[in-house]
Amino acid sequence: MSTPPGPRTGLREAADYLDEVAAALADLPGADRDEMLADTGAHLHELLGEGGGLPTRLGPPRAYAEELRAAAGLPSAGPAPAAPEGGPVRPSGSRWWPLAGLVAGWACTLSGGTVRDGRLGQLVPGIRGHAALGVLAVAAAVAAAVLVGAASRRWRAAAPFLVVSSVVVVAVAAFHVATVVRWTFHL
Amino acid sequence: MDGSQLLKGVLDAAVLAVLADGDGYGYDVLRRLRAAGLDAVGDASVYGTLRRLYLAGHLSSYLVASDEGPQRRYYAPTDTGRSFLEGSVTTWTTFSSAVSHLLGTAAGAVA
Repeated sequence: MSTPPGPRTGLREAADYLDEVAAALADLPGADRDEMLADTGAHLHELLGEGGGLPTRLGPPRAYAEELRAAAGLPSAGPAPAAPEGGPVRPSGSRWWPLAGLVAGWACTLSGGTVRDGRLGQLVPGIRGHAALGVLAVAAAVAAAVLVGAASRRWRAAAPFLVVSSVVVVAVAAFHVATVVRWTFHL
Repeated sequence: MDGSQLLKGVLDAAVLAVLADGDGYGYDVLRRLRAAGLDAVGDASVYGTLRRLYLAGHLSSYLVASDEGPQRRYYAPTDTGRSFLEGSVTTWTTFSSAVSHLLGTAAGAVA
């Protein structure tokens, strides 16, 4: 026979249980997650006075979270969350790649173009006086970044590292290309 | 027969019926469902169902401070929630009388 847990033990147990439910809901949108966690926290508090141990009463925290999701009509976390093969492009993953390319390409045309022109009047400065070359360089950088982004989606765990390193590589490469162009054509 | 499978289909209506009797917070709804005889209903199922019915516009919610702990989120049926419940009552009455009749006939055949 075990003695019923004291109030402090019970609070500790409730906090641990809530932490594990929170971890199992971490991928949900903010409002869904926050309100369901607030309700779960309130519920655990209600159960504290009844004793018996939360896992005995409610089952394991992950199973509780899974039942919450199912009843709320939210997608299951599943054993291994993987992107569906050939599914639609995840907007959160693809959104930043064109932006990274745009910044890198724009930096390239700024370094290559405006030094010669001596002004920042144009949104995309031309290269060697040709506005089209500047736009082309930016477009190429955006396309390259999107390609890198599409490839990186296969290794989702490594994506944050790939994002940072690829932006740096693209920016440095763009700078060097611009420098070579300036030297070659005495810009 | 697994009662929890049957429960899934009627939990929305059961939760709305409980709340049509009077506003309630999660644990309160759970206790009222169990007191009505739905012993198999899971805690998380009730909270998840409340959340879904709320997002569907069938319930409104408000927070009430509690002396014993965190504030409680009370739920009340909206007009659309009440008409959803009315529809469910009609569906259930038709369905349950058909199945009762069928199983009553089967019981006679088995005996």
